[in-house]
Amino acid sequence: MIDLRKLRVRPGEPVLPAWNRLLDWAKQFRLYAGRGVRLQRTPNGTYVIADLRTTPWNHPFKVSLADREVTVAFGTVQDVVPRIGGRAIDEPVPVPRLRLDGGPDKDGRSWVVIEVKVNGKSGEIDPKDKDAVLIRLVSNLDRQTANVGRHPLAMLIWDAGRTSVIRVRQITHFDLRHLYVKAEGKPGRHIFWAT
Amino acid sequence: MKSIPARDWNALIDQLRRDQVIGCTALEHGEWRHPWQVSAEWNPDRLRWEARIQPGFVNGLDAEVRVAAKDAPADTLRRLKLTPAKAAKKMVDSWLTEDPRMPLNKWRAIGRDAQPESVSAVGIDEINASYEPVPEFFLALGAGEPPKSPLSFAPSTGGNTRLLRATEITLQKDRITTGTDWTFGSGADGTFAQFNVTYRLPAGARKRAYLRSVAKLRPPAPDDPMARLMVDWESDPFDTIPVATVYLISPENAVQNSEPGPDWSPYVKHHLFWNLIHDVTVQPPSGSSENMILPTGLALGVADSVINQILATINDKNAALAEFLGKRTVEGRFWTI
Repeated sequence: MIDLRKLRVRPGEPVLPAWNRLLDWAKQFRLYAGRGVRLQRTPNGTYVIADLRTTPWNHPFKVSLADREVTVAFGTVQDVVPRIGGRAIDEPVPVPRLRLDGGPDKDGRSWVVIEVKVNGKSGEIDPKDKDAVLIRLVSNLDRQTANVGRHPLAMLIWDAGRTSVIRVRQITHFDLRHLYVKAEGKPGRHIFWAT
Repeated sequence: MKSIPARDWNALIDQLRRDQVIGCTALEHGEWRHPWQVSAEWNPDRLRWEARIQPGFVNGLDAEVRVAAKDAPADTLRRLKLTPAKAAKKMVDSWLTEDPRMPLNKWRAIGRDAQPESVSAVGIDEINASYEPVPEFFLALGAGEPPKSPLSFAPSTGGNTRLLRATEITLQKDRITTGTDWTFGSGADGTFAQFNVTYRLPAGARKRAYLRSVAKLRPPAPDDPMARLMVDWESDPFDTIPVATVYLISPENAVQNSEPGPDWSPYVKHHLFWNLIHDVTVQPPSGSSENMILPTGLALGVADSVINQILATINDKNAALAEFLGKRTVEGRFWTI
């Protein structure tokens, strides 16, 4: 970028050198179309159309809606692959699916959640328990027991008639770690965080 | 060549005409947008700048924005069972998944017409002022520097004449507070002082996190450790995390102190990109309290002098109390999921 004051001329000064600098300066305003950009040129100006086609991001636990079912992309909790209906979510066809049974809460929301069950004494996920890490559909996020922690993966937004899901809003984008914190005389805490 | 031919002159003008941008359209095909992504837009009906925010979640619930009911999305009014007539002058909490528009009307000036952050006098004829610096990006776009002196609004250097405004969008989550107080009584061996730590969920605390727009984000001053032990003290009832700074830059030669209008250009700097969990370090039930009893041996002592004696820094009781309170103070934390 040049200093625009260099384009100025003083009274009596030859204008041609400044004219040449002006031509050089004006070249920068030429528009070039980058990737995904179309230019519609007219004598009076140019209209820019940017077609922002991006590749989808297939992040862990991505929840997708299909008809009256949802699928959940591969992800892990504490290196354990969660299960849907007794099958791990990375099992091949047919892909494990959650049926949209049960409906939403009073505000038309429900959630796809991960539930992690820990051994009450050790506070650890039992590696022999195949149902220790499950993916479920719930209409209440709060309900969890001392040994079972609940973590939201996505919110499902239902139509006003509460008959079908109109939108999925993803909540979790990463694999998760989990820690069970015991507490004296009251239920322990399940803490989830991204890894 | 001693003159500029009309042909060359007109060719330059035609080129500049052709290459001037007269409009721009961005076609979006399910483009991925991160949670809390903010876009600022001018609302020609309400004559103000507004933020549209990609839904972000705290503890699995989308945050809410407080808006006038007359400006609330239809989904919000339906959920709250409000008709436009009933909603006339109410404020309502609209969830981000209902796509509300957050009014942005608290702006601070940066640069040419900014107010000094601090002013100090050196002698009688020198006044020093410090200003929020103009980000380099906006200097390159032509935003003016702050004045040299708080008594002058003349541009300091260069010919930059554009004005700059900024507002902060923050996320807040209400939580239980920790409070302290003292009570005194007579024990079997004399007078005792009781240090109480109480927990309270303030009335009107919201379950969901909520977004606010403030002109400037001021981190809360750290509590004085002695004040926490000395007098009735209560912690903040919420935690705050910055979401984004929205900047507006004016056209060239804008009149100083003018309000941002439709011809200003928005830019957003994001600070938050992912959904969050919010939790507290300790989870006492609201309304509960814990206490520590300290025998003083000072029958009929005046409360203030008894407390002062207990809290003397050379007193072991001071350290014991500080530890007692430290382990029981509720502090909030946000983390990414």
